[in-house]
Amino acid sequence: MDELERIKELALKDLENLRDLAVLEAKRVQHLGRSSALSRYLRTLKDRSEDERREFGQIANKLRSELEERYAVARDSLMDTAEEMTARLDVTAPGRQVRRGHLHPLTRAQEDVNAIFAAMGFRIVEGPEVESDFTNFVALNFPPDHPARSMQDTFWLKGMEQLMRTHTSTMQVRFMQAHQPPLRIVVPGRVYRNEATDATHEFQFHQVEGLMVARKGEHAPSLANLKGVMEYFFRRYFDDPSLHVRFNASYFPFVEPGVEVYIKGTRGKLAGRWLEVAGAGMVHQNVFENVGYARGEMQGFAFGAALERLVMLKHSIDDIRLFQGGDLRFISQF
Amino acid sequence: MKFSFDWIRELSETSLTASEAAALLSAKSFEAVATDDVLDIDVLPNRPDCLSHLGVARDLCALEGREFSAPAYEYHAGKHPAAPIALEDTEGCIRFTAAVMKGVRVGPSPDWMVQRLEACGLRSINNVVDVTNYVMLELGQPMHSFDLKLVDRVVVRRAHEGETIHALDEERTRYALDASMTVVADGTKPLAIAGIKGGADSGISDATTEVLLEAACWQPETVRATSRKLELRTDASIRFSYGTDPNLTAPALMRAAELLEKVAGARMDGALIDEYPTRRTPQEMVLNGDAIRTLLGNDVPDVRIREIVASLGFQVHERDGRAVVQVPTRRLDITGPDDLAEEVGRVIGYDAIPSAPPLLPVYDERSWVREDADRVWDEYGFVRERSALTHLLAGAGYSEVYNYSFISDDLRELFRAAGPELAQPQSAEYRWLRTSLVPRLLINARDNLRFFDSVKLFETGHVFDHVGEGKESARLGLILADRAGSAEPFYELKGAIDLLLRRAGITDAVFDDAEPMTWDKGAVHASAKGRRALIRLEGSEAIIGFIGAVSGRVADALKLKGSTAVAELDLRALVVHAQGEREFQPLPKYPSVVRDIAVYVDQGVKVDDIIQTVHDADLNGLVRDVDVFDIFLPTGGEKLKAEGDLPEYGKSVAFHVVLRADDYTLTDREADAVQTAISAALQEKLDARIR
Repeated sequence: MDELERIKELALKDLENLRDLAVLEAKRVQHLGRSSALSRYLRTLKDRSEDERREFGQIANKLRSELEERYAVARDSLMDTAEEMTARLDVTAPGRQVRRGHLHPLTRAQEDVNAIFAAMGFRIVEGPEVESDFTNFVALNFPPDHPARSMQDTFWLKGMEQLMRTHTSTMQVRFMQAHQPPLRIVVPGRVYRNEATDATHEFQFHQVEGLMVARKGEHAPSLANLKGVMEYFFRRYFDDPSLHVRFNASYFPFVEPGVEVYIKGTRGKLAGRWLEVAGAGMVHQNVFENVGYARGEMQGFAFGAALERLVMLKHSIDDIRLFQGGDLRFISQF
Repeated sequence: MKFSFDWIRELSETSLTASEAAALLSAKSFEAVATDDVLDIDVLPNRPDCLSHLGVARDLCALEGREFSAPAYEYHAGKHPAAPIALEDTEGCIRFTAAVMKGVRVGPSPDWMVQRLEACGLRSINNVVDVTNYVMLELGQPMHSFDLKLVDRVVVRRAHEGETIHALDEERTRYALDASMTVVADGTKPLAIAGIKGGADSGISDATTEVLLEAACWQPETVRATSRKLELRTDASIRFSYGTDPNLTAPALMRAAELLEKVAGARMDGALIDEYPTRRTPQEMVLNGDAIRTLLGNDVPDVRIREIVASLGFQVHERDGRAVVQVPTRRLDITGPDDLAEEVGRVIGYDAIPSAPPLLPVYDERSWVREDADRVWDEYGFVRERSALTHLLAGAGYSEVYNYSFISDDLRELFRAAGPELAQPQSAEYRWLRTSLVPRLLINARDNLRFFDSVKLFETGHVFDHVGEGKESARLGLILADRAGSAEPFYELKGAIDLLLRRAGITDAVFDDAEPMTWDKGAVHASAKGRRALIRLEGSEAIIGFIGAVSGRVADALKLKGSTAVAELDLRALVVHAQGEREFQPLPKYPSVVRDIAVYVDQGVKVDDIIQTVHDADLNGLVRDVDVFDIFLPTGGEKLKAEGDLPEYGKSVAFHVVLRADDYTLTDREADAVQTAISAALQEKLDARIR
């Protein structure tokens, strides 16, 4: 017993004040190597009785593990110290630059919008930008000489019966023509209006359209449901769980009733004022009839918002023209 | 449109202030803004009944929940027939009503009338004209007054081709008429453009003593078309374009007669003249409370629904145990049960509609697609993959831009390509649909080089084929521009393309410089021959993209400095590949051997030739990869510094060859044999010199 105590004391004493890896290694061999006192002690155990062998063998092996551990720790610490002295880093020096690119703010907004509606099980679809008079106007219940159909308001293609779509509502027509309800879709996309450009008007901008329809009597979406969906969407998009939504009476040929959607935030820049953010309403029975559904059998809502408007509100952008033209000083802020 | 709130207050007996009334109307009817005692109301096109003070007053009463009592205009007309009129154009004219007023003393109007007209933005002319305008503002019925002495007879007919009329305005503007337009004429010439403007030759003057007062209902489509053709919009044409109530003409005439008696001492002579070939009667529809509640998603009771409908002046009566509504002829917008639901919804107020998130069943619409339908849209899978590609590009240093879908005359000329032309563009700058994203990307690069030394941009969007009817496809365009112009940007851009192709799971793309380039000219013409390539799939004719170094010609024309490369990819082709199922390849069980080979070859020898030769020499199928890691091209007259008889102006190409067998560990001897075979083939076929 005393012998083991002595071995331990010597071995630990030698660990003190060690500065050099080579010295440490020599001491380790001296105290733990084949010809160390500890190894010799273990070898003498075979001459003892079986009980003693078990008892002292256990104690000696435990000591060996302990010493090996202590020497290993001492070695790690010496190595780290050496590295610290010779290869110290200036952590305040600049990192080597990795230049990333930037997604356009409209793309980011579109992805946010898609994700919110996808979470409600809306299917995301995108449609063509060149459309027929039927899909853009006739099927959506625009009367034949509605002002929006004139050359002054719509880009018609020369010598063709086609036009640049004026709204993503065209996809209401295309999707319903191809599907039976129930259905719910969201359609982001580019639209065109022949109007003068200024800080809040562009002749080319982006909309996000929504449509939810079901057979009457099968949980067909109501105006109250539209309000619920608008509330969910705008609260998520503007990250304001208490944001208010209200409807004002309005008119669009393809809905009845038609409403304008206003929001009022409870914090930040949207707080305290009502802002018009979307047009919406219950899908007009004439539209259902035009896409091939029986009149009076279906019920549902539709809504449309200008993506630019949402992004401008979110990021306090004051000129819609910045979205076009690819100025990196603008884009790289997002 | 401007309304006098004083007038509305008189008709509605409201106790609200102007701004309270404006707020109520804005929420429940149409946008209204109050300034002092004037309401500026943006009456929606479906509510022409509210293009009058009476209409707004009636709506306001309903919104307030008060009963509205319409003023009764009674005037006892005589019995004997007045001047006869001939209504020939029964398509353009729904009803023509007129009265003869005698003993008229033309003069200034009383102050109260002038004030009301002016509050609504109308100038006072004389008491006769003012009365017609006053009645229009009050009841919504536009009227016209003729000097009866200048009118021998009245014919309502289509204009004759080539007829003209001098309008009743200060300039006596001359309008050329045609047979699509309806006019009020005398025996020889047009006196007024129906529903739009009177003529100068039959107007009221100080000398007028007898007046023919007209109150008609004109067909909206004709008035709209004529107004557009003549580029002439008046207070009358706006109202007729939206549609007026044919049953309003007679009451309006009575009201005008009453006023003319008061302000001009006139009296009506004889009976009303009234041509009304097809009388319009109120429509009837069933009032279904359940349908209204289902649509609105609230629980408004039947009794309240009836109250609301009645407050709007609709008659409700029982028939066969059901409530039937009689819709007044002024409400052209009410054609079906959903229109009644809208009336109920807006009058109780949309704020009273609860917010009720819908119950959302889980379903897959693909199971009830109509198979015969056109499917021309992109699905979420496409949107998601495009998103993955754009995020990858942004991570690789490329920034995203959005451009107009149109190009200018100049760009069309420079690239000799454009899609369909717009019939009426904003300007020559945006006249043609783009066939490629490249032209505007070049302009983006030029503009940004004013602020940055190098620019990496991309755009995704639709392009429109120059053949066919605006056939469109989705593209991904990229540009890399370096102001200093030191490096060859083509190769860096090609690296980005490789990245995208790998992300899409395309490992067998070929860059092919064989002319002609069958890609949109709008992109191809950005570069010169020998400095551009088509990107297609190995063993396939399908072209998925284009890449090229921008030519000096194009750079000069666009004032683009430095060196630039552009590329364009077919986004759908990329996405289709990316969506393909990925098959797992077992991990190699045996180690690879890597050999480096470097050769001098003639400049005309392509890397692809070298790789192909390596593969051809590999008879036992041990070569797994050939990876070029260095190419040295001497510039100018510099020759390669190497021993022996090198080809002049050659280049040096160095590459790793990765060798591996599937079922055993390759020995050095076997690897040596393959390397020797490769070297021999390179020497023989490409006249290469092994370094």
